[in-house]
Amino acid sequence: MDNILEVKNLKKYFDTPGGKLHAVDDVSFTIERGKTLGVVGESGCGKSTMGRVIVHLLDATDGKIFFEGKDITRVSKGELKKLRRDIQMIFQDPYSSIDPRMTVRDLIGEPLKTHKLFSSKQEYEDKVSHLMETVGLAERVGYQYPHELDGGRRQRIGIARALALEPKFIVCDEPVSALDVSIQAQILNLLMDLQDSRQLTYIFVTHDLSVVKHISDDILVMYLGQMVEKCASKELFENHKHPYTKALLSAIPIPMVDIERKHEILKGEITSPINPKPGCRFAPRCPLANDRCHSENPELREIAPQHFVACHNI
Amino acid sequence: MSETILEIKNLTIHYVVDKETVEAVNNVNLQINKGETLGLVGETGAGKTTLAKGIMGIIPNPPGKILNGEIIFEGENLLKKNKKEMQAIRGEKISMIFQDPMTALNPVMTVGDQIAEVIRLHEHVSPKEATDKAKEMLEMVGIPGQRASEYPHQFSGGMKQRVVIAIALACRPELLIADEPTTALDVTIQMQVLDLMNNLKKQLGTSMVLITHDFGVVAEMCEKVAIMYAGEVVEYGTARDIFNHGCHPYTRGLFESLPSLNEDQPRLKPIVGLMPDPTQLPVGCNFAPRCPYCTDACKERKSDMVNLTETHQVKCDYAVRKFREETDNG
Amino acid sequence: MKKKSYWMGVWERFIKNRMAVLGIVILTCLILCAVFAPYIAPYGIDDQNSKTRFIAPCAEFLFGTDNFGRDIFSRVVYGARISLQVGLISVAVSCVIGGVLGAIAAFYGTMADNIIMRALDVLMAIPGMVLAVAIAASLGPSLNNMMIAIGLGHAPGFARIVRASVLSIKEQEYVEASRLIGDSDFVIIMKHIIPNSLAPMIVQATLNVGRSVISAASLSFLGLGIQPPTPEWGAMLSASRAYLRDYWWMTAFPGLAILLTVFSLNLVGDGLRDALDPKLKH
Repeated sequence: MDNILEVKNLKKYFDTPGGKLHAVDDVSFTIERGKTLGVVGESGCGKSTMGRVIVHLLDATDGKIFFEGKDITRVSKGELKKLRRDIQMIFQDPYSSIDPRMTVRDLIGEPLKTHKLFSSKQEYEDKVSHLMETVGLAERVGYQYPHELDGGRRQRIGIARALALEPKFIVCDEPVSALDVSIQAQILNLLMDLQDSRQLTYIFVTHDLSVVKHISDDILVMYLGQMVEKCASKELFENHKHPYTKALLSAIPIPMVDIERKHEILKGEITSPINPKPGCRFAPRCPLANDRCHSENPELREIAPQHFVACHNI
Repeated sequence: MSETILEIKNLTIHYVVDKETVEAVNNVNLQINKGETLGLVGETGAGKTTLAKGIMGIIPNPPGKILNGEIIFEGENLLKKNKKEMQAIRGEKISMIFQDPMTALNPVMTVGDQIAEVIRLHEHVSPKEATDKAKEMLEMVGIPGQRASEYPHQFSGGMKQRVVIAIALACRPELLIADEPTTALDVTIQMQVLDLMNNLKKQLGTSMVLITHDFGVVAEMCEKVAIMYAGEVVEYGTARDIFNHGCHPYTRGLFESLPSLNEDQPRLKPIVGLMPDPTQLPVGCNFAPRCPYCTDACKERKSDMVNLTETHQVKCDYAVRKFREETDNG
Repeated sequence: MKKKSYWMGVWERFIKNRMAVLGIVILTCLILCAVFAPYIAPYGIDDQNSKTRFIAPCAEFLFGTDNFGRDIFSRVVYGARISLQVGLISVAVSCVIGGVLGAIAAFYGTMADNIIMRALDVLMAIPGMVLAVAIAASLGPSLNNMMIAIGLGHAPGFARIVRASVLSIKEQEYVEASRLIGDSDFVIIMKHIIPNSLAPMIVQATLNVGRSVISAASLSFLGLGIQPPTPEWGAMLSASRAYLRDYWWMTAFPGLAILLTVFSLNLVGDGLRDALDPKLKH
C-alpha cells in the first residue's frame, strides 16, 4: 500500500481567554495515493483546523505528520517552500480567498512567479493559458477581475492556483459549500476529473454528507475535535455504528417525497471543546450515554477491518 | 379548507441601476392557501428574496420598482396600501425570518426585550404583559423563559434562530416568510429548527413561504413548490408534482446535479453554463441558452405557463408535450 | 482581448473621473507656478516700498500689496515653492513612518503591536503642535527639520489608520492563500496587504497636506521654520492677521492658495482611491 500521508495523534490546541481550546484532539489516519478522504462534521468539530495544520498554515501542537514517509511536522522555511509545491489547498469561500485587485491571469500566475517555474515570458503565458483551459476558464476572462465573475468561476481560479504548482496532495476545505447546486456539480466533476488525470490525493473537508459520499473513498467523522468513526465510504452509509454518525445521517433532509423517514432529533447544541473534561464529548447529546461515557474517553477501536469507531457502547 | 390567503398576480419588480435595468422578478403568479407552506426554490439571483421583500413591502425604492401586478393578501391588494397601513401589517399579519440569525438580532438588547418590543408595537398591552408574553414565546420555541434576560451573544446559532422565530411569531402572523432560515445552521441543528417550525405551523395554523435552495428542506416542509429561474416561476405544483413529475428542463437539471445519498453515480450531471445576466435577459426562454432541448422557437419567444393538471403548471412547451405523451402512454 | 496591466487599468479609470482630472490640472498649475516663479512673478519677494503699502488689488498689483508694500501676487507665486514642498514632503514623511509602523504593528501582532501602538499613543497624547515644536526646537530651525517635525507629528494618525485597515485585510483568506503558495511575508505585505489597505491612507494624506501647510506657518511664526522674508503661505496668513479687518486681500490670497492646493489634492486623492479599486466600474 502506498500511503502518501500519515497523520499520527495530531493535536492542535488554541489558547483562548476561557482556557485551552482542543480544536483537534488526537487524530490519526493514513491516506493512500490517488484516493480521497472525506472529513465530515459540524461547525467547531476541528475539520478545517486539521486541514490547515496539514498544509502548514497552522503549526501542530503535538503529534506527527508524515508525507511520502518523511516527517514534515516541523520544517524549516526552505523546506516549507518546497513542501508547498507538493501540498496545496482549495479554500471554501471563492469570494474572499482571492485578491480582488488582481486579474484572473495574474492570480493564476502568482504561484508560478513565486516558485519561478518558467524560463521565459512566453512559457509563463503558455502555462497560465494551459491552467485556465484545464479548469475550464475561457481565455477571454483572463484580464477580468474576480468581482466580475460568478462564484463557480472564482472557485475555478482557486483550483487553477492550487494546480499551478503541480501538487501531489490537495486539501479541499469546503470547496463547494458556497456554490449553487448546478455549479457545485460542475466543480465536483472537475475535481474528480483532475484526480483521475493527475493521480491527485484529496482530503475533502465538508459538512455536506451527500457531497462527501459522492467524492470520497474513505470517510472520517469528527465531533468536537475528536474522531468518532472512520471507514470506507460505502461502509459508513450502510453500516455506520457511532450514535453521532447515525444522528448526522438521519438529520440530512432527503430531496424525496412519499418516503417514510424517522428523524432522530438530537437534543442540545454543539458546545466548544474548551478545557474538555474526560469522557466522550458527544455524551451530553447522546441517546445511549451512560455513566462510563461521562467519565471515560472512548478509544478508537477497529471493530471490523478498516472500520474504526470510538464509542463504549459498540 | 383551501382558502387562499395570498395571491400574487403578474408581479414584476425591476431595479434600475446606472441606466441598467435588473429584471429581478418578472410576471410572477403564485397562490398560497391557508395553513400551507410554499417552497420557493432557485439558485442565487433567481429573484427569490426580491419576491419575498416585495410581499413584505420592503423593496428599497430607488433603485427598486414594482412595475406591475397585484399582491392580494386576505382579499386586499397590498400594493395599494400606504406606508402606515403596511407598517401595521408587517410583523402583525405578515412577518419574515432572515437567513443569518447572527445579524438579525440587536446585540445590545436582551432577547426578551426584543420579543416584547414587537408585541408592544402591535398590541395594546402593558410592558409587564408584553414581557410575560415574550417569555411564553421563548418557551414555545424551546428556550427556558428565564433566559429572556440574556443577550444574543450568550446564545448559540441555533438558539438565536429560535429567538428570531419567536420574534417573527410573537404576534401570531397569518403568513410567515422564511428566507433560507436554516442555511447558516449545522445539519443536526437544522433538523431541530425545521422540526420546530413544522410543529408551530401545525399549532398556530400559520401559512408560510419558505425560500431555500435545498430540495431536502423542501421535501421536509412544503406542500407546494415553485421553481424560480432568472426572475420567473418556471414550474409550480404540489411537492409530489415537482419531486415525482417535475418536467421543466431546469427542474430536472437541478435534481440531476444533486449528489444522491441513496444511489451511486459515477458522475454528476450539472446544468451547463451560467444563469443569464439579469440586465440582459434573452428574448426567448430565459433557460434556452443552457437547455438541452432548446429549439429555434424557444430562442424567439417565451413559453406561456400551461396547466398540466389541476395543481401542476409549467412554463415550457417541450415539457408540456413530453408530459402529455407520458400520460397518454399510461 | 488586449492585455492590460493593473496600473494601466488604474490610469484608465482615473482619467475617466472628471473631478480627478480637474484636480490634476489645478495641481499641475500650482506646481508650474512654483517651478517658473521667477518668470511669473512681476516683482521680487522682498521689494519693500513704503509708498505702495496696503494697495488693494488692481492692474499693477494683482493681489494688492502688504504692510511693507510688497506685491502679494509675487509672494504667493514664490510661496508655492516652499508651501507645496512642505505640504507634500511632510505628508510623505508621515505616510512612510506611520504607514510602516502601523503595518508592522498589525501584521506581526501582539508584542510588536503593543510596543508600537503604546509608543504612538504617548505621541498622540501630546498635542501635535507642541510635539512639532519640541522636535523642531531640538533639531534646530531649518526647512528640512521643520518638514521632519511636522511629518513625525502627524505620523501616529497614519499609523492608526493603516493598522486598522491592515488588521482587517490580513484576516482575509487571500492572504492565507498566498502564504499557502509560498509567498514570503515581504511579498504578502507589498503585493496584497498594501494595495488593499491604501484607500483610507490616501484620503488621510490628501487631507493632511493642508494641515501640514498650516502647521508649517505656526512653526515659522515661532521662529522654528522658514525665516522671513522667505514667502510661505502659512506664514503670510499669520502675518496678515493683524490687518484682517482693513486689508482683506492680505489674508484672502494666501488662504485661497492653500484652499486650492488642498481642494485639488482631495480631488486627486478621491480619484486615485476609486481608480485603485477595480470593483468600481464607472
